[in-house]
Amino acid sequence: MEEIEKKSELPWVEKYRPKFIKEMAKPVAKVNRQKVDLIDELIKFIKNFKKESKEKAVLLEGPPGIGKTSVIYAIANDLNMQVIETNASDTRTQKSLKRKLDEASKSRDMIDFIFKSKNKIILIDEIDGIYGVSDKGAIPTVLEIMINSEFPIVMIANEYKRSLNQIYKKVRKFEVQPLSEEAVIKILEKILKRENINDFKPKDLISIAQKNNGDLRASINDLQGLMQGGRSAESLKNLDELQRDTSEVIFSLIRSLFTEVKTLIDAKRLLDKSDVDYDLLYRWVNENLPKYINLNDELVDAFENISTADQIFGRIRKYQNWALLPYFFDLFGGGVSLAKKRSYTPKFVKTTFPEIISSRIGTDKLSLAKKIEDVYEISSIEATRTVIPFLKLLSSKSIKMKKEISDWLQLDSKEKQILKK
Amino acid sequence: MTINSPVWSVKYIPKTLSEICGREQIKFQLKEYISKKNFPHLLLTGYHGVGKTNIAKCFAKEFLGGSYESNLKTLFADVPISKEERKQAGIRSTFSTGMIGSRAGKKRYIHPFLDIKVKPFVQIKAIGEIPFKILIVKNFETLGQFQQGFRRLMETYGSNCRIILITSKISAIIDPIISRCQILFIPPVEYKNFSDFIEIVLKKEKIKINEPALRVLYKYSEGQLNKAIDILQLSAMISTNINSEVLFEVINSDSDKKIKELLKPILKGDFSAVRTQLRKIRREFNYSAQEIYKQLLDEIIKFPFSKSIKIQYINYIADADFRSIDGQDDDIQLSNLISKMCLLSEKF
Repeated sequence: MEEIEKKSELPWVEKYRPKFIKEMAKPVAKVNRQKVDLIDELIKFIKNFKKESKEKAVLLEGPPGIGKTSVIYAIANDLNMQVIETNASDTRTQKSLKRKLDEASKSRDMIDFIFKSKNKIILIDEIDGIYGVSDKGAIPTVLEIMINSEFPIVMIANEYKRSLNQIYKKVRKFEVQPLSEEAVIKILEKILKRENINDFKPKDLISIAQKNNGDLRASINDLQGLMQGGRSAESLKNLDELQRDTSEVIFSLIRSLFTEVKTLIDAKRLLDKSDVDYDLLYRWVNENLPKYINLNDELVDAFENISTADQIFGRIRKYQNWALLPYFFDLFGGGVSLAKKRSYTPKFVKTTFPEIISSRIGTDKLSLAKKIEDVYEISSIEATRTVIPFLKLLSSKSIKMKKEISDWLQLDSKEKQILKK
Repeated sequence: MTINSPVWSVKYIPKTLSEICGREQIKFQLKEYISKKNFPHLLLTGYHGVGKTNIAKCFAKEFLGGSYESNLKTLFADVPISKEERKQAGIRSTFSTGMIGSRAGKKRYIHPFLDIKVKPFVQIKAIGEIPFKILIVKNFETLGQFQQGFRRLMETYGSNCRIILITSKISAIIDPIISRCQILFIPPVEYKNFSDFIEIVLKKEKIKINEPALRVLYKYSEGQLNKAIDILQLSAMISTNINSEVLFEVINSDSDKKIKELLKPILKGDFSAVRTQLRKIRREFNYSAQEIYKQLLDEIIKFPFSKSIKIQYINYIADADFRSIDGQDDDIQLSNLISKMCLLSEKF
């Protein structure tokens, strides 16, 4: 009891981290596309591990928050072993890795020997985070440690990385699958029961689980956010309602950006206040900009700024250089709204959703494009660009031709409609 | 299917190497390959629409003889991945962790083109009494950095499968690929061969065209037989005796002119009109921003502006194209470009 009270400050994710296997949602994994029981296989690997055994390490790969790290700690607890962990927050240069893992992996030191203390598991978490200059030489070191290790090594990664090819060759890779929605909901219910919360709506749990795509950690975080945000019935407005009024928020935000903002600091404050995804927000600005600014010279200034902002955003994404983010905000916020000087804004402007134009073929045209692809032996993209306009033109000239074309391609009524337009 | 087609360009498409219009040098070389029963990886290059793919196909069919159906495959490098292929690729997908924000933990796909479309074909042994299979890849340059994946493939499976790459932009092909291929440049059709070919169509369809009109047709179609036959068919629906007037009437309604129509509102300086129209075009023809830039450039060069204004416009287009490399949203870069163009036309 005392322990739980002490723990009440902890985030629920830590508080309810499973200690033993039996508390866990059983993760499923695939090895070479065959489903296997991850826990069984891991226990087998760890129990059968000897210094002479060939298999020194395994790799778990899967999305975040599905219990990869937890499963190792739970197994260690069950088998009464100690986990030596290194993760991406440590700098993993050759030297530091070697120091840390060598000690753990080779020398059973005197104290160990005397007290016959716990066996160890070496856990290299976030191995796909090894890259760049700061982690130089880490991969060869890992490989070397693998050969000489006296303890089983478990590596954890989120995604395939080409730079890890050396490692993939040497280890068995378990692809851990995301948890099912039902499994997530079950755990969320369990937590609510332990927290003595009864006045929740089952619908909330479902939407939390759906939103997070099998990421249990994110789900628990969301649950805590929802439940501890005050448990009154009012504050428990369900999640879709929260999502619904974001567009309202954007509408008013765009309006004030163009009509109220007078200085750069105003613009910055306005954008800071909103928690709209900025990825989307600058597209909104782009869409609605010409409605508030209608003089060509001011338009040029505004678009120059938002285009630079777009460029910067691309670079941020590409090089993961988030230090550039302030420029991005200033340019598409203040840079755009302050370009407006003499333009007259009508009293009522209808703010519209950003239009997303992709170069992918729309579903309406796809079946027709596929048919043309087969007959003409050209790609479906080319079909929409050259052949469909031509067929349209041809069939508009005479009814006889229209019939011949539709007989030839065996068109259904929907596809005929496209040619009519 | 092709012979009964009401569309002439499909009906009269050459079906064997000897039927192909002109280009004797290329035909001779390919026939040599057929008689020797061996050829290196090929890279066919030439302007858009000159018939590279058809030459490759006719050659492959004749080379493989009767067993071509199971040993020949044509792939389009620029076609977006379908849902089923996406599903297949999903098995090998990974989850991104590198990004923060809304993208974190979302699925990310490895380019499935090589894995799903190319590898299964090249790995399986050829069926029948032929030395190897043939794989044709169209628009190869659109693979971009994934061209790298091809070079190992070409070496590893080269003995089992020869690859014919087709591209209209040889400068976009990486050096290692070029060094592994025999390069064939397919020139446009010459006027003499062109008129011979059209003559066959005219005879079979029982229509007539006079000499000046035929010259106009040749010039306008830039040696692209497909396009010429399409125009011919449209003209034939107006009159069976085609002269230049009929031809011009058809050419003026040609769908290729859509981008040119943009210039009108640009010259008026009407930004919103341009943007609306541009978006409409992009939606209808699924153009990427790069393709729009290219077409705009072509139109600007042809248009009777003064030299300095042309240069200014070209400058704007170049700048926008450059910015699109880094940018995330093509619409923003295009809007920026047209706003500048509108302002410039306001000034003169």
